[in-house]
Amino acid sequence: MSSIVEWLSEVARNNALSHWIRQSSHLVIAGLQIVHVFGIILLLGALLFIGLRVLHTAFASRETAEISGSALPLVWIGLGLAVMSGVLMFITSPGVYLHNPAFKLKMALLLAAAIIQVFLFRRMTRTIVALSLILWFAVGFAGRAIAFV
Amino acid sequence: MSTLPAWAESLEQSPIGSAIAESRYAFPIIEGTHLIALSVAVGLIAITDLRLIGVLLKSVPADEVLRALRPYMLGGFLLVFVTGGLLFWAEASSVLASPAFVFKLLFIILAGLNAAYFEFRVARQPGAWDEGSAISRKVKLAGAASLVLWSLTVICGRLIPYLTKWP
Repeated sequence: MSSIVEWLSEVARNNALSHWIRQSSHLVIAGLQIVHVFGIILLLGALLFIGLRVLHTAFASRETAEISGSALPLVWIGLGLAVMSGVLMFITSPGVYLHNPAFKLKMALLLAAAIIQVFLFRRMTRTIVALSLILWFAVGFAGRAIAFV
Repeated sequence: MSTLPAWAESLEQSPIGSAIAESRYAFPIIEGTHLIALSVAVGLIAITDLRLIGVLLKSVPADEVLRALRPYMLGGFLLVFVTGGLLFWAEASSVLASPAFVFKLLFIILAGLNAAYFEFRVARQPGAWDEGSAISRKVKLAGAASLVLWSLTVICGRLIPYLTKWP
């Protein structure tokens, strides 16, 4: 198991793209960080928007589908931006991230949140949407801690 | 001008400033809360702005969206300002030296003025919420300005650790 992780991290670290990002200005990393934050804002904002309707704290007179239909594309755009920029940051120094406890926690939370998002979220029950919101906000919180642990 | 760095230094060395800076858990917790709260505030504002501009959620009246989301946006902003203030308390000197922070403050002020002008002038004019009316153009413009100004605020905030001093 650990040799697979080591091999993957070596592949991630040792390729033309990761070399280019590492050698370019630190403002490239800053740019990736900015895209990452915009992705997180879109993802969490749109999920909360849907959550407020499902949990009956806003838009009670509207159909859930009316609210979620317009916000779900924002969820996927935000997730796409966050994942793409996140992968590009990861390949600059996979070893550092893989040994970071906050990163490990974030990946575990991310896996759970992604499984719920893909397979269960469309049911739009209160329990699933509340759990999804808690998990995604925890992913953001753990992610912010990576720089400090 | 020399009093500003001195004030920043005394702020950092105050009991609360140094307690935050020296604590192992305070920084990640406050930074994490800052990120989550700004996702709530700016995320919901972006959705509201997109509705004001007319690209999202057209079947729901814009004033209904604004009224429903306002308490959550304001709650998010309160938390963003409190956590942002605590972070500033702990590292005032280095943050003040960054041009990105100065621009961030400027964009926050402009975004606040835009929001106040919208809430107290534009939105209260008769016909403001009628799609296609003359005043609804001002509503769209306020939404676009808000989207741009808050985006610039987030960009500058993220650049603070990367742009540490004026060129």
